[in-house]
Amino acid sequence: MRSGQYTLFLLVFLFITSCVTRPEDLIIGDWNEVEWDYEKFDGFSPKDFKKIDGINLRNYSDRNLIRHEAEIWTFHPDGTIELKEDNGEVITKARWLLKGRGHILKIRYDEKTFELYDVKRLTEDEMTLHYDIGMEVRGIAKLGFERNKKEE
Amino acid sequence: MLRKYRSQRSLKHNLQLAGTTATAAGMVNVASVIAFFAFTSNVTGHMAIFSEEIVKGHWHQVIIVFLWLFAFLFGAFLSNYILLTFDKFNDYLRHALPVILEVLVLAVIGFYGDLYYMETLRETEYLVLGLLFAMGLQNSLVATISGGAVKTTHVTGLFTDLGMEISMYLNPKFRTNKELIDKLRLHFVIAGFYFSGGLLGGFLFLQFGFKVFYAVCIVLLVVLLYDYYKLIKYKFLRKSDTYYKNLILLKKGQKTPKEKKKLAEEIIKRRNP
Repeated sequence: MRSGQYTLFLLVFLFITSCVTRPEDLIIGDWNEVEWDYEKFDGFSPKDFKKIDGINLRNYSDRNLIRHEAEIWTFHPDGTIELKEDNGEVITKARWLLKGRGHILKIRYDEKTFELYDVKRLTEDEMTLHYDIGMEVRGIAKLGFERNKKEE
Repeated sequence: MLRKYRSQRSLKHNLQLAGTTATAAGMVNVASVIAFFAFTSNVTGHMAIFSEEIVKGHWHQVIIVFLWLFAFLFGAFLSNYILLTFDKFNDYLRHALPVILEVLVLAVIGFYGDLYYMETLRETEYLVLGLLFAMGLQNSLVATISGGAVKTTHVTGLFTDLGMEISMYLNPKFRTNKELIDKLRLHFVIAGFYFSGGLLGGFLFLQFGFKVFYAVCIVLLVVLLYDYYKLIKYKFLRKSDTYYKNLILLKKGQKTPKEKKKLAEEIIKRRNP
């Protein structure tokens, strides 16, 4: 390739880079929880699963799955997150972090308590998270969100 | 480990190089998975992710994964470029330069991660980029100087080779083939040390955080200093050995024909013990 072609390639690359919204910016705002789907679990031993909302949910002894009762998740630019009820009352405050290439959402409550989610989809209007139990394992719960535009 | 080049290398040289560099690669890979949720010593997964992100239309991720792949490629390029460009230097220095560069990169990442890392996405992206660059440097260097025999971060290829070699070893026709046995030993050493490096890296990261990268630097410094020690030792031995003293005098033309004949006999004796 000639130097002109290199420059053109570099300019196109820089243009694309400048047009793309970073996940850290995209996630800021209010998100309404619209769905909770659980992974199907075929275990029969009562030790292996617990029942939540009438659905068998597998127990993972090394982690405590926090069942969110919040309806709205508010991500602030300063790295804090508020989990709110539908009426706007704040249930929990925590810190949010994006890891990897922006595909892992870490919600840290304190030094020892945190949750990890795979960010499966993140657009202007929709966000889908999978509760993460390992790098190569499918999430046990899928959370669907829609951006709350009323609040903005 | 670093002094000898391709055909001059023995199995022992390759085993030592494979053991140490595979440990370093395993440590870096697991530490980066825990710290950044990204693999850094292999690019097969990143290539698949690159395609996946294009299909999904996640353009930010596409750019980041592209830059990560490029960083590994650039590391491999730079390592080999150094080997080709500095051909006037002695082999040890030429081969040591990419390792010194790798140590510097890892030390900076360890230092930054330990004292300044705020866990923002941008920092994560740059630090993973640095680690992939370091692994590209290392992989290219060991592959080049070992003539392709050692590739410390290429586990897919390693397991393919191992599968083929084990099947050959189980066939009585090849069981006593020394070349096959040497290859098997080498590949088991790479796999074993890569795995143990991963365990060690994971354990150290959970205990000491980013200081684990200083431990990787120590492993690589062992590689550098081991050969440096050998060089110094041989230099010292040569200086004190009358045989080498006589060779120097022969070069300078300060020997009688009788002494030359005697020395020639000694050279033949030493070369064919």
